[in-house]
Amino acid sequence: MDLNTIVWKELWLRKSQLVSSLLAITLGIAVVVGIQTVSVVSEKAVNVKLDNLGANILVLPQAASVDDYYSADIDAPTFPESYVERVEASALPGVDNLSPKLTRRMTVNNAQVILTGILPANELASKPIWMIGGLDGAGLKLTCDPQNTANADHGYKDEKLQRKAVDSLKDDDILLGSFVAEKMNIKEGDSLKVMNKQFKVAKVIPESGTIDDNRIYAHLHTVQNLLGTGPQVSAIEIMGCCSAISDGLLGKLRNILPDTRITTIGQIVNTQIETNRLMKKISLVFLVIIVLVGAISIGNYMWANVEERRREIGMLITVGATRLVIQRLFLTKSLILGIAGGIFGYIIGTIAAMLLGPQIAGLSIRPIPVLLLLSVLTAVVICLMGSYLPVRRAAKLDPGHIMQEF
Amino acid sequence: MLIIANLSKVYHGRHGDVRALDDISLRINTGDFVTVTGGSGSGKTTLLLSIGGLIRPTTGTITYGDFDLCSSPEKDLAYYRNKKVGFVLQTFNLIPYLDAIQNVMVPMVIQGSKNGAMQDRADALMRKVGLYERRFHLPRELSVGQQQRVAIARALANEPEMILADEPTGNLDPSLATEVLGIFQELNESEGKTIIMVTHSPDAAKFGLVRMHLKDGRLETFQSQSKVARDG
Repeated sequence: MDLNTIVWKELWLRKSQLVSSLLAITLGIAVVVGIQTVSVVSEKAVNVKLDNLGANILVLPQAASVDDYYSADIDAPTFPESYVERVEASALPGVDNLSPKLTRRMTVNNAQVILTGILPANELASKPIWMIGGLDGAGLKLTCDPQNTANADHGYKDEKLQRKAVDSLKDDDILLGSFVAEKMNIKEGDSLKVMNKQFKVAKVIPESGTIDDNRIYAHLHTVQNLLGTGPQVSAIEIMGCCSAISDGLLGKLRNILPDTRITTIGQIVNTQIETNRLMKKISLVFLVIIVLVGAISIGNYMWANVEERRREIGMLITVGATRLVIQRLFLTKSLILGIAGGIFGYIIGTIAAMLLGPQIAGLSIRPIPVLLLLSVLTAVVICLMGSYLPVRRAAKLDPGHIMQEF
Repeated sequence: MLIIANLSKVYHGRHGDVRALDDISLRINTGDFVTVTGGSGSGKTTLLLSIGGLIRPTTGTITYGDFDLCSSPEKDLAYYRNKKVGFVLQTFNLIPYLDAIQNVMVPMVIQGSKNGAMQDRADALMRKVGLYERRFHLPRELSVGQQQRVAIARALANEPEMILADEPTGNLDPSLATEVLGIFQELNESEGKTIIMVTHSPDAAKFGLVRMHLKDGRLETFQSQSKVARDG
């Protein structure tokens, strides 16, 4: 027998009080775990979907607008291609792929087209829709998930290796957008003269329903030579992980490329970032409420427990217990409540998330083990916080006064 | 030897000060059986709790051997209560969720005794008070007389030199009271324990070889048949 025996026996004797206070802390933790589990899984799922959509960050010259980029006028400003290397060298986390482009609107065979110079592997990788079309080298499928088997299958486990994808587009090869091919009645394998240079059509890209259908793609360096721009580009499309964007990737890119405009493509990314932030805020608000309610509940229970055990505390001091022993008795009890509340809260919260997640968010939820540790820590902190005043009171009880009461 | 000199205790309340003990001086030799009587509010429990190191007097000194109860730190007083003194109270104050033998072990747990030694000692004490067969019963499963015997066994756990008893027979019928008083008498006579017992009962008071009576916090009468000498 030791002091812990006394704590356990007392907990067992007053089971009904124990259950009610344990329930309060357990349910509180369960709510936080449930929300956190669903939001983390949801965030990951949306991030993967967004990453699969393709490039979502656009680096433009300082003076250019997104419209300039799409209109591709002859006067549209450019910036040095070396900026690509600058971003690569920074090894920023969350930058999955870089796709520099030089664009120029022109007339070819009496058709208005946009000549677009690309570094092929990068370009292909950032346009997942093209993969379906079966382009050479387009088997790259990028997501931010390091476990992504598609990446592994293609030998792109290494992020740096991924950026140095082999250029598979020859100098005299071009890719045609579906609208251009249809308008000019050109098929794969045909020849096409662009700015007095003869090209071979390597592939006709399936219809995407975007401005890309009106593009003629050639190797970036070939286009630079044809246009006489030197090593300049109109834009760099970047495939950034959604989670990295929400963690400030844009700001980091601005630091690296201060004389450029950096923007996200489409409201969808911003919306998702806002949604993720909202979920985090809601989770935080719940956590604060749970901490307060839990601490008050535990504090109330412990206070009542101290009052109920006044005679026992007096007796323990009478037979030689120091105030430290009294504190230890109550803090051990509080610790047990915290650990039990954390474990039960994690289990209930995870089960609830697994049951409700598919119905509410359409997601398959898996347990997040690290939340068990956080749940226990949170519950223990709540219990110790709530117990502070009652334990202090227990240790300060005047045994002489108590013994005279009885 | 326990020496009390000019002991006073004043409680400060909302309705004014109450002088519970007023200038009490006496000596109690080791091995004496002392009974303290007096009406309600006469100060007898305050005197007992002061001797037990649970109340610090307002003025005066209490010395047990070389140990000064009034100026010692709380930690030393806890050691004194654990090793030197055993308390027996009218309301028994057994811990309701521990069985009888575990209640007896509590002072030994606080002392930090090893499990084996603790178990042997507790078994011996339960035999001594005639409750070995009921050692695994919870307090509520025992009669009041049996509960008081468990409380006596607990008081003896760490082999104290002095037993302080506050109305130990107050909740017992006459036959059980006699039984409990008999245990105290035996502890005093055969083991040489010093017994200081507060009581309302004139019959119980007769067990004391030294009898004192308090009134309004003052030592009103003092009868010694053997070892106690009143100061002055």
